Amino acid sequence: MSDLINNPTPSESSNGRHESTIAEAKATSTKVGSGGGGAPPKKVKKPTGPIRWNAIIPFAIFVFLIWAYFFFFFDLHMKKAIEWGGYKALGTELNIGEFKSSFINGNVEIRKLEITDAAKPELNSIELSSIRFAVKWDALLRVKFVIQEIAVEGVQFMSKRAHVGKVAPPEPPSNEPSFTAQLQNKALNKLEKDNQSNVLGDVSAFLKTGKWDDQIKNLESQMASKKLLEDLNVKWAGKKTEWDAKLKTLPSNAELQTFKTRFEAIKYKDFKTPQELDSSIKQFDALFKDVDSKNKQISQLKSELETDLKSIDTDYKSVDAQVKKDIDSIKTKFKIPKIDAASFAKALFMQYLTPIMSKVDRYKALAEKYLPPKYSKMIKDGKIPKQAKKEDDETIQPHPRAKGTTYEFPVKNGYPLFWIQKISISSKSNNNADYGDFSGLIENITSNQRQIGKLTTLDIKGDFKKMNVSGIHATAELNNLNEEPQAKFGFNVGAYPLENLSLLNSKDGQISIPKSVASFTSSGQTIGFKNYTLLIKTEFSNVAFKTEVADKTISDILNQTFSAINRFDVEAKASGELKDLNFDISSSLGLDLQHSFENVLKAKIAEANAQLQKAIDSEIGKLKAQLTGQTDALKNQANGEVAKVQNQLDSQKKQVDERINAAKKDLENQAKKHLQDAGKKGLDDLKKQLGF
Amino acid sequence: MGLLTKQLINLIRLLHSDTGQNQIATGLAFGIFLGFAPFVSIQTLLVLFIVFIFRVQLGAAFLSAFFFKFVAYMLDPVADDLGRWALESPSLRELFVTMYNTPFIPMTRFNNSIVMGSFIISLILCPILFFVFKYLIAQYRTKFVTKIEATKAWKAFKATKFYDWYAKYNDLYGGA
Repeated sequence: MSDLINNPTPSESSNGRHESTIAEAKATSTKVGSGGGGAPPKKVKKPTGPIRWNAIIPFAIFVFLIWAYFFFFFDLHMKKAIEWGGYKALGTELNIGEFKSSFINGNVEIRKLEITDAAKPELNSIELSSIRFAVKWDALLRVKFVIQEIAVEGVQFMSKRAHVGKVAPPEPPSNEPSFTAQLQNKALNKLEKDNQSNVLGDVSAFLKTGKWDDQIKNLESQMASKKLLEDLNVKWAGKKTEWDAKLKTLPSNAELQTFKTRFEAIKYKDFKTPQELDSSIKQFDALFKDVDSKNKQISQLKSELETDLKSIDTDYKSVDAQVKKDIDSIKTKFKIPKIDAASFAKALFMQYLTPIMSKVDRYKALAEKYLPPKYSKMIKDGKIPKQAKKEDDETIQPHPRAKGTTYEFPVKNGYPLFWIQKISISSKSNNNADYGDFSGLIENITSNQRQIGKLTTLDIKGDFKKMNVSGIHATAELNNLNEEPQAKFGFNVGAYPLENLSLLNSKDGQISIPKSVASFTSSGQTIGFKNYTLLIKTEFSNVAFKTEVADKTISDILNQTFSAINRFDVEAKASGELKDLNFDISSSLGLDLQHSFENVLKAKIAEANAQLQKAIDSEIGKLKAQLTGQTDALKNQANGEVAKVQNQLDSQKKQVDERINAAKKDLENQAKKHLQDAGKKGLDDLKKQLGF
Repeated sequence: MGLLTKQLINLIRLLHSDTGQNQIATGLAFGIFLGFAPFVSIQTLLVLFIVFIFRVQLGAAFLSAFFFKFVAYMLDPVADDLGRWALESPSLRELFVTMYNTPFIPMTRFNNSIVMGSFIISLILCPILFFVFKYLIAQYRTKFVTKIEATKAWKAFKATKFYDWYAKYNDLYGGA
């Protein structure tokens, strides 16, 4: 402002006629001091060019600092970030030996990546000696992240760590039912679960006892069904009283007779005048309304009766269910064993399958947490979110006006937002470390399968010869090309040694397999993350059982059975919706044990069951009969009474209707006759007048 | 924020000096690109780079960008129609397909009708605005300021101690 005041604007300049930057600079001069006093000295500024040098130098310094950061610190910070992120994501310590990246070449190399095993923190669950990959610059310039190949070398499982790894505390249990919990709940009912490790104990106790009379005498206190029947008897006695009162409100015979008398008194023919007919119809209407109101009352009672009759059926069903439950409960308490293959399989292999299912749960939780939101939402809710459909839609979608319309031109060399084309895994054992001999390929991990038209696949094969583990084969496939995404996996191990597998360990005895060779097959599939199918199968061969059972009979049976068994399998299947999976466990060993025990125990078990059933029937039979008597009486009485009154009223209504119609018809006929007579008379008169 | 305030003060000072007419006019004209383009885009960065590197009045550019952001909002329907016309033009299709498949260019979001329309409007208006602003600045200096200076109130203000201090400060620390 002082410039303006102290330097009156030259007319040339104000007209904009001399406007070169240098000229401006030369002309730029300021007077020191303020308005008007003395002759202030002039400051002449240096001429300035078109380029703002004082901005370029700080900019260059800024660029240099960025370069220096990437050159000196970026790799270290990335290493720390991956270690921190890995710990947060996996819940176990992740270590990286070295992280090297080159911005110019777009490549990254990670050496010695170790992930701590959560169960054994002194070991790594996996160790990779080297991971290398290069990012495509062509794609990066299009703001897309595309890796042609990731090379993973030196895969090692359960390798020793230099120090014990950190493991995050377990997360609070979720309300969602886990695979493990579902396996235990669905495969075994509560009573079986409580006694799952007591199969030998049950057989042993059963063989020892053999006499049930004393125990059965005390049945009464253990039967919830008896209490239920007593309650129901009280309930239905009350209902009967209630219905007796209700039935009294039905129209009595006298009332019905009154209707009849009223009905008979109404004239319905030989009307002399229309007024007479009108009066009759009014009387019929009044009677009809009265009958109808009573009818409505009866209909309401009928509907209440039907509800109560349905309730009788429900109560009977609940009694049956409770009786069945009581029988099961008493059988368990009396230790009547279930000699069937499925029960043996459940009892023997639950302990073996639980840790496997826990692993499935863990991977499911990881998938829910780290899959892209649209997939994790599907796993959680079993629904395809609308947003996911929208994202995958490649067609032009007009946006609201303010956002304009985005046009899609043909993509000749376009990439999806994220795409790892290939991950090659190779690992060869050497003298220093048993990495295992592995080779495998993971292809097309991408944010948009539809754009590239390829499935995400995984195929890894390998052996750990030193550990005698051979035929490892993992496969997986994610197909998002269809409307509903499909995922399937398979994990097989051809053969691996298995030592000290404990099948049963209770106070009554132990069954274990000290040494065997097993092969493991597992596969799973999900469509739309709604329906799941899971199959786990283990085949044991070269099996030698070890049994320690106190009861001699059982010990003999087991030894005899097991001595003939050299191989057997266990199969667990789960299918259905995640929140309600159907589980089934079966084993050839269960079948063998069933056959062996059946011969010895079948007759005795049948006898015990019959005895128990008889005792239960005698205990609750009386109550049940009493209940049946009450409900039947109610059914018959109420049904009969209501039906009878309703029939009478319906017939009365029908008669009223018929009389009204007859009355109308009669008047019609009379009118017609009058008209005919008048016509005839007129015609006769005319004939007379005309002289015919 | 400090830099922006300083640049706005510089703009006022420059506006009242007898120089910098081109700097201010260029800044104001470039502001239309900043105002009309999407906030984060390659073209915004490019214009910012030019404005920073070349001696263009930054305050003028930012002030103009702020003003043109509102104008752009009102002109969206026009920009949308214009953009559609350009993007659907068969003669330009080959060019757009090539641009769409070229690195960096898609980051301009040129394939959006409003972005394209706004860019065309800015491209047409920028040179026109340069001369218009230049003329307006000259008019402001010769007519408006002269009239203000002639008022008694301004003369009384000039005589105050506060003005002396301001003038002193301006001499010591001011500068375009």
